[in-house]
Amino acid sequence: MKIMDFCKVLILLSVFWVSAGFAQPSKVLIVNSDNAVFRYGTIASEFKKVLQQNAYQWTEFNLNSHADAEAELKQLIQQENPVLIYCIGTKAYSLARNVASNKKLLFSAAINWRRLDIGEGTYGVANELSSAQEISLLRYFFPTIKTIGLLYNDKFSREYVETIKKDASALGINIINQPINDAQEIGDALNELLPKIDMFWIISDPVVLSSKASVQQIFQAAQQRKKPVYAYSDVFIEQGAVLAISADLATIGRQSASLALMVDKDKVPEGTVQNPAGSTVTLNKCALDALRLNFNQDALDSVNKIVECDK
Amino acid sequence: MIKYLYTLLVGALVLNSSAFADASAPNDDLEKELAYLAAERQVVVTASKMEEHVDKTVATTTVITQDDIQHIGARNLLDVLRLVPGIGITQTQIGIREIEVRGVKTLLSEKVQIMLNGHPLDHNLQNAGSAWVYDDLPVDTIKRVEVVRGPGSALYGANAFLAVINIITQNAKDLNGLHTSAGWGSFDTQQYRASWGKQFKNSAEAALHFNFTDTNGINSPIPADSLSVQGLNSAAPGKSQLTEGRYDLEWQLGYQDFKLDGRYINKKAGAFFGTAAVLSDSRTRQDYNDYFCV
Repeated sequence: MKIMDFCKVLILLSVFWVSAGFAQPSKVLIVNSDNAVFRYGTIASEFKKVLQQNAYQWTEFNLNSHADAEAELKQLIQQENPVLIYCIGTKAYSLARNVASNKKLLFSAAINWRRLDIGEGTYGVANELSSAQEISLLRYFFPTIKTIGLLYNDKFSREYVETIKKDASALGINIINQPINDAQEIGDALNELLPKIDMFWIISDPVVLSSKASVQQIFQAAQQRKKPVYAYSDVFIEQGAVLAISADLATIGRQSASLALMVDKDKVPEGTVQNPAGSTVTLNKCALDALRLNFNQDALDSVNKIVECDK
Repeated sequence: MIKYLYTLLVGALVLNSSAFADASAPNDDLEKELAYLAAERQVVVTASKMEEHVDKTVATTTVITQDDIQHIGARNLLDVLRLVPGIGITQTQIGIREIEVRGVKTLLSEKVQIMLNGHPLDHNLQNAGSAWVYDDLPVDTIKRVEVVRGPGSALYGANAFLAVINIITQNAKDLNGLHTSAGWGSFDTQQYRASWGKQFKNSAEAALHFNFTDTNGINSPIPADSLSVQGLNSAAPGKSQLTEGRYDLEWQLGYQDFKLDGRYINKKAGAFFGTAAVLSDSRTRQDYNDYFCV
């Protein structure tokens, strides 16, 4: 009997030893839509830093440097067998979803993630901040604003605009949204929209913001009608936006990496999509003074950057 | 003098170029942002399938992973559930284990919806509950347990009144080969597991799990029962019959979007302390079969 017990312990130990010997560091495949794009590049760089700190291995695949990206990506996935594919941008996610639907996918930097084809084992960090949080801050800064207008393209931003409308309605703000099919329609749409609103909201819609000329057209029209502009990114402060609440790119990269580590350990429910954790609030005091727009002075505590007029 | 003019010229050039750099910085940022938007504009996708998931991911969800299970040394499902805030495990006088949620429990835990890989499990024997069958489910093949506390009937069906417990077992992708484990303990306790899984190139996949567990139990002393107190013939004083054992065979077969999952359970249990409060050495044996086709 004692020999039997000894044999059992010996088998148990050998199974344990063999399984421990086979343990390998987890590997992540990073698929980048275009590493020359600043936003994608910054996020990828921060993501890799966190992976390195946690002794993860990774392989990068940049779609812009492969002629037959689909076939090559398919081959790479078979060859590397990663625990997770991190997709930066909509193009990367769409391709990875097509060629590796049975793999765990994590996305970020995809505009309006709600429009994506999300399957089982997909996780993400949204590109846009929580609209409820943005509208709450807007109300805090400008308590008198009741109606906000925005332009959008139905193909790219419909779901996001619906979320904005729902959140705004809960907070007592009316959203007037005007769809456009291409940048040529911006002028007419603004002429119709601006007289009805207290503030114009620039969302990250790639059709509305298709060129510098479109951006200038929006700001010129808003200035003529003396309407303040709120923007999703502080790059529009220089153009004349009064307030910008921007998601921090480096934080999106680090947040995605934390999520990837949790996904690898099965610590998060399938389908989890987080809002960006870091944000910067920029107030353009110069534009506010020019518009003689009243704002809540107490809200200045929430501001990270104040832009004054050049003297 | 020439040297002085040269220095002045270089200084002016440096000043000039830094002024240009300042002026161009904001434009650069805008250009970078427009370049990003242009890259995003290349892909148009229209399929929204996510909102249901978000609704399910409520704050009262707890996820226990394989890693957690290994660290706590859990041997069966109830050992895992004991860890979940708001969930308690109790045992009745006749040995039935109950899942208590936020202080509320029923004898057969039929108000708790147990799901296997997302499929609801209903066993008529216990008024559409499944705790009786799955309470001692071995955990070696479990990948994750998700517990949603609170009423979830709108999402998960009729029995999800107190909580939903979704047991997710390892699939072909998780296994990717053969896995075995064995364990022994006091009271002649034994536990064995063998799993195999493979994904094939033609998008077919197969996973097979076998679990075996058996124990004699702790044999609690029972000094008297309802017969012995009346001076009638009785097995008391004696020891409770806490012997337990089961074997499970689970399979998951998939080809493209078609899936066929099944589980066969053979379970035996000692009488503990009978329903008529009588000590008995009888032992029951039950067979359960669950099949799912998706």
